[in-house]
Amino acid sequence: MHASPSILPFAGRPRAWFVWLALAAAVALPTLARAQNAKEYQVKAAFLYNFTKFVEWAPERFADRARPIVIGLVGPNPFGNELTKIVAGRKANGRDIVVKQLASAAEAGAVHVVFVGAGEDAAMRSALAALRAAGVLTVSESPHFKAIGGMITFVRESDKVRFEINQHASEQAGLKISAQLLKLATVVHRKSPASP
Amino acid sequence: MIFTDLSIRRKLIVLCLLTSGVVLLLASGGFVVYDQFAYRRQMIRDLSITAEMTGYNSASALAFNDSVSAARTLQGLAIHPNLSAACIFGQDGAIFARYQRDADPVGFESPPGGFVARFDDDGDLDIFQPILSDGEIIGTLFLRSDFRGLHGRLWRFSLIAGVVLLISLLLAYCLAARLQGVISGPILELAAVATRVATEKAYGLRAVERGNDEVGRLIDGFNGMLDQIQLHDAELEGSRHELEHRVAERTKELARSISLLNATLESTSDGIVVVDLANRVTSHNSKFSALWQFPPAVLERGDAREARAHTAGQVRDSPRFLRRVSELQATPEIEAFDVVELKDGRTFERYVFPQRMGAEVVGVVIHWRDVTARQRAEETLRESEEKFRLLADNITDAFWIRSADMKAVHYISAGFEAIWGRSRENLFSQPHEWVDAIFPADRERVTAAFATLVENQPAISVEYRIVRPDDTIRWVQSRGFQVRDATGHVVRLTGVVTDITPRKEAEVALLERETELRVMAEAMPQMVWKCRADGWNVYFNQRWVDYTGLTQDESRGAGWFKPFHPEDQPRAATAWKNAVENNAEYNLECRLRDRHGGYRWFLIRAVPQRNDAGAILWWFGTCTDIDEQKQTAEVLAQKNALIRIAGRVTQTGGWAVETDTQEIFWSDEVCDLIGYPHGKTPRMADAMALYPEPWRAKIVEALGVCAQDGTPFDLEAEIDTLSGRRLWVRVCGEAERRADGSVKRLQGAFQDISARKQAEESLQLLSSAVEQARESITITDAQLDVPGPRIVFVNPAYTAMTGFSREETLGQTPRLLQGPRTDRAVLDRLRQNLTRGEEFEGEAINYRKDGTAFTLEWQIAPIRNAGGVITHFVSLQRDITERKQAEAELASTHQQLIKASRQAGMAEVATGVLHNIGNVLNSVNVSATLVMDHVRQTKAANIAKLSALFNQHKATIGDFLVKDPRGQMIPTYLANLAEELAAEHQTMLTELDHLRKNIDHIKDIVARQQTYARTSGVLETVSVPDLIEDALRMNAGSLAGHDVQIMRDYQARPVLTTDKHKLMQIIINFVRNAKTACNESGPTGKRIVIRTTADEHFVTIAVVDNGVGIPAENLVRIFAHGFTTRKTGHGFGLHSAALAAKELGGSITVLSDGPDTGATFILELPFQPEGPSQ
Repeated sequence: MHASPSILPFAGRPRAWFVWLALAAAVALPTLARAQNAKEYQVKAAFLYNFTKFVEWAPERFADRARPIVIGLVGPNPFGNELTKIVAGRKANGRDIVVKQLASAAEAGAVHVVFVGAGEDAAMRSALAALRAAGVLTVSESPHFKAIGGMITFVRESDKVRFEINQHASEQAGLKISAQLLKLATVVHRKSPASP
Repeated sequence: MIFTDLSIRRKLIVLCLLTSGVVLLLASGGFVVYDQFAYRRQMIRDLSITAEMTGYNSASALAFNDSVSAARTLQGLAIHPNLSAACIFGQDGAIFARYQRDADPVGFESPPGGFVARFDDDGDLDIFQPILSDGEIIGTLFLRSDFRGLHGRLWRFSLIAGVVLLISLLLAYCLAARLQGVISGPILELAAVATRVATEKAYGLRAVERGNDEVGRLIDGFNGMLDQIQLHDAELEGSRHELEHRVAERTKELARSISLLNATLESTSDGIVVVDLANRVTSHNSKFSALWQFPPAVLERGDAREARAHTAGQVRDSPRFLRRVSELQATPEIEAFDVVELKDGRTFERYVFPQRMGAEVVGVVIHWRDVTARQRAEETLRESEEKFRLLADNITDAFWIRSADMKAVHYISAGFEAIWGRSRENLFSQPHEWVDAIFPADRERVTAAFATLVENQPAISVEYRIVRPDDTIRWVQSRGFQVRDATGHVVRLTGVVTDITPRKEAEVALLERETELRVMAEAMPQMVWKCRADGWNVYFNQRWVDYTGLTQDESRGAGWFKPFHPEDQPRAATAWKNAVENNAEYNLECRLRDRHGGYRWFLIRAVPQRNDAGAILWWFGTCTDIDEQKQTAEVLAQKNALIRIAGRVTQTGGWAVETDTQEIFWSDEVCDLIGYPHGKTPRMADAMALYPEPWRAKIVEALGVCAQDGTPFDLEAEIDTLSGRRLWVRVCGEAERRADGSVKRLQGAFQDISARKQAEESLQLLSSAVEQARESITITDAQLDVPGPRIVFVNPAYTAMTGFSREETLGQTPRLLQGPRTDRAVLDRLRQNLTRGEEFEGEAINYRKDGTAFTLEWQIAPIRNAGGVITHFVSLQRDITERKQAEAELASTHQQLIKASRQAGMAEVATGVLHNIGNVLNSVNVSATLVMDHVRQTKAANIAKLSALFNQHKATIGDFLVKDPRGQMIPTYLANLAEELAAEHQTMLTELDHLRKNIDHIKDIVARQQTYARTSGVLETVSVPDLIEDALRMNAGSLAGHDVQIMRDYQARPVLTTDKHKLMQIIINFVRNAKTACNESGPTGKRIVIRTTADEHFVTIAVVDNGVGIPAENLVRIFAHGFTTRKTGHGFGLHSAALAAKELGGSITVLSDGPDTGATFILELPFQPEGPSQ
């Protein structure tokens, strides 16, 4: 995802130009905040990748054995290149891993893992049920996420990134989460957690 | 060793215990070792499983970086008591989580990156287990299990093994103590039986048999042995009884022997007594007691002393007897004999023998014999001796007896008086008188001989002369003998003296005869010798000794064979054998070596002397020196052989014809020539038939005349040999006359002269060839000193050439033809060559008889005889006057040609000059054209238009210039025009300057050409580099035009005094040639190097190009006239250059390695440096 290497910056197609603008906006964010966030999202990106290793999808979610596991991002990408770098050349359960930016929650039905950005959970509320039905692992960093039926939620615990698992939701989605993963979660919700 | 002395029982127990102990120890040791090994493997497996499980469990914690969770997982390892430490390393090798059982801090080494299980030195097991997540190593688990389990196990096992060993040994001891009786019981029993048998000698005892094992067999064997001993014991008892029986028998036999002995003793007539060393009479016979009349009691008592006293009383000399007895007693081992006289007149002989028992003397046996009767008989003998004496006195010989020291005469027979002519009485009174009678010369010899008789010689014989009182001399032979008594002492000397005078006289007569014969033999000129029938030499005369140098002794026996020549020895031996066997005379010619080692021929003859029975007694022989005869014969034979060889070599033989019988004799050589067998005689008619007509008639006539009146003849004729060849022969003959003058025989020589005839023919041929030759040939002798060689032969051509006749020339020297213009140098060379024996070739002016001069070319070669010595010179001469003229013409033509070529060279130069000028003219042309174009396009014409415009507006010029738009432009236009015209002017000036320069150049070239076009031959002093520069300048245009680079390498700048024109011509030629060569090679990189060098003698100018080069085959002819490789070339250039160089006294060399390698032309000129060159 990069700009066309043309000499004239504005001579590209409209969509590419739009992307360029988006990038430019991202670059323009305050540097300090970004440095703090960068470390955190590096960890989160690694976690996202590691989740794929400890989660088992229903076999019908893959057309064949060669199909990759697709991680979809809804809303703005907080990882930058980090996630793409981590998954590049790695495999989980013998499959390649692909990262995909999703335009809307509607597209998330086709991927295997959806990461919902911090501000997007509200928008996702309606879509989560559909995603559960589709067998998609939903991950978010929003504290309300578990309450609206998200499966894994990143939490901060004494400066460390940890996560909670809503096993109830994942079981509804037909996903098997490894005991190894469950062991590491700060909280495992066996029943639907109450809405705040 | 203590073990060896243990009882069998204990040995068996110890063996059992030792065996089982060792086996158990080995088994338990092996078990412990195996267990340790297996336990270690088990530990690794267990720990690996633990590690794998823990690694799996901690993978997620590692993945999600949850070290708390990982630590929790590790804490679960506490259930393994042996696990002392564990830790998890992250991907970066840093410790992620750790666990340790004990409080002591544990050092963890960094992971090795893969599964590793290893025991460290303390027995601790370390395991590194990589933690995988989806095939990716995300960390490493490290586990350490301590050695406590391992060591505890080892200790436990050792304890168990020790206890088991102890119990087993105890059990083994009990079993062994009980069971050893099976083996030791019978053996001990057997030992007890053996002891009883040994101590009690109870051979009837037997050991109890048990089983059939080795012990059973041992008992069997022992019992069998006892059986044998029992049997032998019984046999021994039987033998003892038999022995006793035998002893009894022997005793009986002994008694018999003793009685026999006693009987023997009694039967002898001697009295025998045996006394032992203790002086006891052990035995005696009755004869003994009878001889000495012993009373029986004395001998019964057996005391020898008593018996001795009894006998001593009877002997005549009692004390001596007793002394003797004690002597004998002291030496019983010695046999003794003596005589004892008794008082009653009897005489006893006593023999004493030692009595031996084995080697030991135990006593003495004494025989007594009564010899009284025998002594009486001896008395009778003395009487007969008296009779002998009577006899002795009556024989003619003198018989004498003297005392042992010769001093006293006991007896001398009557013969003494007859021989000596002296009385016997005187001799008795003066026993030495006989010595005085000996002839003085013999006296010493005789006394010496008798002295030996006195001393020790048992017998002597000596011949000597005696002088009788009447002064007559007689020869006597005296023989003397020693007489000894029974003890061996000389008691008397006795002898016989015989008168041998008659015999001696006969001997002397014989000796005289023999001496005569010997002197005769010595006087003979031959060697004389005498041999036994078998060839054993006994005599050679002095001549032999003188000749051979061998003494008589050396020649004696077979020694005479030594001087025979080795080649003659077998022949001599054969001849001798033949003579002996056939009883014939010995006759031999052979060589004998003289004392100096030389050999001479001898005739050896020998005749035998026979006895009456015809047997050979002696050989008498002589050796006669026949060496000179022999040599003469040999010389004759050699001469004959030489004549024969000479005849063969000269093909000459001899013949003879008897006039009476017409018998022909041909020597072998004649026979060989004709092909007739040797030694046969042809008939006259056949011999004559060999000559073909007309020769036959001539020969027959010559023979007839010679036979008639002895006229000798010598003629040559042809003859047909029997093999059909026709020969030329020379036959000469002469007559041999008898005493009455009539011709007895014709004889002569016969020689094959075919070869000579042929040689004569070929000589004839050669001679006519020389005579017919067109060229003058003269032959001179080899006399080179003044007055010089004399001409011995000239041919007609000589006369034709010189006008001198043969008669005028022969005997003269070749100087006859020489004159004032003859070149002396040629003649000197001629002389030198001939002196050295070499050939000569030369030409010089000579003069004919009429005085006209001509050029003579002649060659002289030496003629050598078979020995290589020069005997003559042959000279071949030719008049070459005409040829000389032709050569002169040729030379002048050549000169003209050179001139022409030089002119052609000038044309070359002119061409070059014109070319150069043409080039410059091109530039001139360009400049001129440019100037012309400028002039043609000049804007000057516009001024005319302007002028016309002014003229048109002449009236209103002011208005026109101010108001009219065209008039307003005029000032500007004028300014531009002026500028353009100025530029034009400048251009034309430049071009014109070029023109002028080019024309100057042309002038320069022309002037230079004029300089060199002057006539040559004038010597000038020139600087070589300047000259080269001029040459280059003259070619500058063409060189530049062809883009040839010129490189100057003036290593020397010599100044030469030479023909400048010619040198210039050569250099120009070189440069042009190089340029052309470069042109032909290609468009780029053309280069010519010009180099000058100089040394003390030469200046060298080399022109090197990198052009087409010259093929090797052209190098040799490149300077030839007309040779060129170029289409447009005329072949003069290099040719004329070479000529010019030669004229300058120099030379031109060309070097090239072949096509496309360039070429180097080198001009070398003689040079005398006048000073330091610049």
